[in-house]
Amino acid sequence: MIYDAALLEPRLTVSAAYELGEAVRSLAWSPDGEHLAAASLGGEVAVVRPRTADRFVGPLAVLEAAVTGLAWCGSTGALGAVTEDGRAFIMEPSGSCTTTKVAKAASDLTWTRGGQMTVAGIDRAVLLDTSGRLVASLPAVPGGACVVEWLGCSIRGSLFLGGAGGIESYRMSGVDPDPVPVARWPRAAVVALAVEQSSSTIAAGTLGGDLELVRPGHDMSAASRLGRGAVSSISWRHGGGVIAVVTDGQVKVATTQVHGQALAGVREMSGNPGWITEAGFAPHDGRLASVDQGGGFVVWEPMTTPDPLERSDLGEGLGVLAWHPDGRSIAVGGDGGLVCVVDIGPRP
Amino acid sequence: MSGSPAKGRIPVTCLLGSSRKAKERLLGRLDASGLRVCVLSRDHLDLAPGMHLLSAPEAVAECSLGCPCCRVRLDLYLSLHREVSRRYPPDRVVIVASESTDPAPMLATILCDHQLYSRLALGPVITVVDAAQAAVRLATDQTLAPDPVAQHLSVADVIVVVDSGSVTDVARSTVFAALKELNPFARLEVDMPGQPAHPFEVTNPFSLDTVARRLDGLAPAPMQCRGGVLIELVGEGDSDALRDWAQEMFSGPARNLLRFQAVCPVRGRSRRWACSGVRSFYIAGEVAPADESGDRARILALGPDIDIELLRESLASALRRS
Repeated sequence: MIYDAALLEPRLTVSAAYELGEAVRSLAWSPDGEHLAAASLGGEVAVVRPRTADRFVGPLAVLEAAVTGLAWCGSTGALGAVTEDGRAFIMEPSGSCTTTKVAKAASDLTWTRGGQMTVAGIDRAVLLDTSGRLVASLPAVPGGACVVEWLGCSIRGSLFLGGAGGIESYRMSGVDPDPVPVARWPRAAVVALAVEQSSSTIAAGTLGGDLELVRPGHDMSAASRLGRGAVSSISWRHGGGVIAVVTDGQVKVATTQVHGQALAGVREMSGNPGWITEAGFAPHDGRLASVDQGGGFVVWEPMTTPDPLERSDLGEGLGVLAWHPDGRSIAVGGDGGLVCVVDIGPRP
Repeated sequence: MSGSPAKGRIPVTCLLGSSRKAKERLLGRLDASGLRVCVLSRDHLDLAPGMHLLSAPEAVAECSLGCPCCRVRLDLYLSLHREVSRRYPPDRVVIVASESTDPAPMLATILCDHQLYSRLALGPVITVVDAAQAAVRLATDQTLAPDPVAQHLSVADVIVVVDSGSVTDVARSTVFAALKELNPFARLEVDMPGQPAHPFEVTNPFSLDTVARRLDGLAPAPMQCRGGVLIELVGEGDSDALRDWAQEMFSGPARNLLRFQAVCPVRGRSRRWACSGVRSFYIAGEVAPADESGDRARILALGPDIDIELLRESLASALRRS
């Protein structure tokens, strides 16, 4: 039990804790919220069921290289992972697993609504079906792709690849799986992408601490300098209009204006004692959670108050977080292999 | 719930040069017993037991941070971030550049991110030269090495000549003279079989105290060579004005600089201002005063075709503004 220092009341409860052998760098909740997948730099991919006593369903696999990306497919329930040596791992709901070498190195993945896994590789990007078969192959962003996102979340949507050469976008036709290159924004190395589906806006974070906003059919916005170091995470508030960006170990919140292509009211949220590594908005409201390398875990409501709603210390450096789909708990992953589910209750 | 193991700074060595065998040989001199040594390289290397080779994919290129001069290596950035984030990080990291690597983006990658820089303890930049190869090249092309290997030599803190013994004394002397002509500011070492010493010590060449000591030790100035220049001016400055000078100078007119180091007395203070960087990434701050003749401002600029007058005039102007 973690107590709020001011009220001396239990506000946050660690409902489940697990340990992997290496630093946890990827976390993902299944779409129904029943399972939590965690992956480490040691190549472990574990699936746990936090609500039940027999928690470990896995470990499902110990891959031979660091896992760099992890995501569940919303339509089929398959789990995908990619590794730094360019392999894609898929576990179907039946439990059968496939591992496919797709690139020289892979750093991110996402799923289409139609159940196709999209992998950002250093030498190419690929689409795979749930059995690991190649559906389409795209040339890489010059210098290699680092992050991938879909706008539209379907095979008819637009695919965005960010990497050393900036951002490239492709339009996918529903009949023909071959991608059609649409636009390229070659400005600066992109290391973080986040899509806001309702306003069709893509936020790109660069290695130099800039945030750039892109809307298909429009020019890229002027870059907003939010820090000097790499943008390590970007998160849109539910419904859009507000964005949280982590750079230089701080989380900065801003509102978007002018059709989502300009930033305004940038403010730094203070409350984390350590170097912030990731921040994410709750799935259904305006709460924002962040984790830091000092073990700090903080929850804010940034549009109503600059003060933290909740703050606690989980004891080891934290690198990643993932909100449960119902917004009542958050999974966090640590540098020492800790995977922890913190119940934070409903919005106060 | 267990805590993370304590994480200290990880020694990092940058190993440059064209000869893969010479780099392998020097790596073989690194005592890896009982250590986790991570070697980052695009080339396949035969390594001693205990060394883990983490290959960077060939397709990765330099990338921009938003302006043409701010170029870093995304692959190296991601790999280093992963290594320092591990539960049990390596005891030592060696970054081995291939023959075609531009050294400036590689070094800038370590400086561009505070989190990365704060976790790494940089050792000197080492460039390895095979004496036999260099002698043949000097005899045929009259040059020590083609670009970008010549840049590898220009940016080096230490140049290690790997001598297999098959080179004549005359040829060896010619190679040494050419190296001195290209980069007289680097420490020159000869790696001979049976010698226990090797240049893998951890003395952060970007640390401002190291920079000040190094510049104090270089004499006389001005001194110009094919790969760089040492400029000296008499005067005192103001830290803010000097920082503005560095910002303006190294992201603009002097962008062809590969590396630069500067130290300057600060008016009204006993401490001195120092600066160290690669292209437009630099670290600046105050350091201890010089033991003697502390009124000299010195700049060591390494790179091809440096506009010496521009550097000298801009620093003189900054000192006058102060």
